[in-house]
Amino acid sequence: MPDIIRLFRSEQREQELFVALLRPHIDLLYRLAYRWTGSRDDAEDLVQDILLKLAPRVAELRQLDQPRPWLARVLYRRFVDLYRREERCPVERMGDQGGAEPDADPFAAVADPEDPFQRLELGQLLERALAGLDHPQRDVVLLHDMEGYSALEVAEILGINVGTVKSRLHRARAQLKKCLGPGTFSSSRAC
Amino acid sequence: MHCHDAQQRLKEAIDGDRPIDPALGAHLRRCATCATLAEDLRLARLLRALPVPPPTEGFADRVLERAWRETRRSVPSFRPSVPTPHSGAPYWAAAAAVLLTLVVLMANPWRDGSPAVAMEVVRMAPHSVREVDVRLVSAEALPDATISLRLDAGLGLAGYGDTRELSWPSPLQAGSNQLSLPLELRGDRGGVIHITITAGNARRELRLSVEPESPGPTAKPKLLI
Repeated sequence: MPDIIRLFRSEQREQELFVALLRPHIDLLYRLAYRWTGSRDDAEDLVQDILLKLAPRVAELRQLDQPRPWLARVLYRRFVDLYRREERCPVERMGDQGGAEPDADPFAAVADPEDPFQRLELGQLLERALAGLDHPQRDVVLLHDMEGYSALEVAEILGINVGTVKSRLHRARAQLKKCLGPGTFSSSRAC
Repeated sequence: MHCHDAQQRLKEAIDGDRPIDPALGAHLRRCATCATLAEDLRLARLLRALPVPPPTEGFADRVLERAWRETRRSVPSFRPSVPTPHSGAPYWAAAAAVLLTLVVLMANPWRDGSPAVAMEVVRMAPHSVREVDVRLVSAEALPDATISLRLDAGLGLAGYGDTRELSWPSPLQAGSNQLSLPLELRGDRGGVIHITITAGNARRELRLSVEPESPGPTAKPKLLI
């Protein structure tokens, strides 16, 4: 903290450093914030909020070897503080809603529909399936599958162990696939 | 085809958005493990493709600029100021117009025989924040100086949470140096801020007594040395 004070002696240089350190990560922070909040306004507010907290910590930011997971952790904690704890209407949990048996053609398992409308429908279905996950599962899917963090990084960001990350990921994927229709991922109207 | 080869080719096919070749397809039909991996990979690709609307125009530059600007207003800062030949009224009048400014003369503080402890009083409204500037005037440069702050309970520095003790090396230049504190009176009772400047074996302590401001005309700071 005293560093913060000392650093102000060269204010302009410190501001340039602050911008140089964080500018490359703003898109990531916004994207993560949007994934969590589901709202552009809330995402922008959340990013602004953590930047306000990071601005006095330029010296600390400079020491980071891997700012990406560190920033994600800061963002996640702030998101929990500001949004999740205030949630009054948690997302309704999705139950087991059926779906095809896992005997579908594995060719189809890696082939997305070419029809843009089918792609759109699949995307909407996936959004709904994601919303049906509980928070811990969704957090893991968001960070690992959507944003590409490693299981170890996800564990650090969320403050849980790697085994928990993997088990949550396994359960979350299973539920998503069930909602989407295993194998072919064809639409399951129940989700 | 072994699973290791199949999984490698599967990842390459999905990452490269290429079709599955017949040999790999045949393996996937036989191997549940690789078929599950194929689904997981495809699921991840679909998840990554879920759209995120772009932020408003100029978002990144705007939030960075605002964060920096607002933070500068709310945390303590230490700014050695340029020594001025007019160290009296004109400069002080300008500073006092917006800030409560306390002056502590430190001309050669370790050898001038002046009191080791100086005390000044600040009055402010309870539950409020007020920026206080402390000017430290030194006749000579003190490159190894350290500044320490200690706040009584009930006082705080806005933006610093419950931290009540701070210490950091801060060389003083010859002439005028300025320490800005976003002082917060958190209750109805006052307290004292102890500001200690050390250099080598010498030290000078300043005490800033913060008193709750009573209703009525605004009281002016009173020098108690």
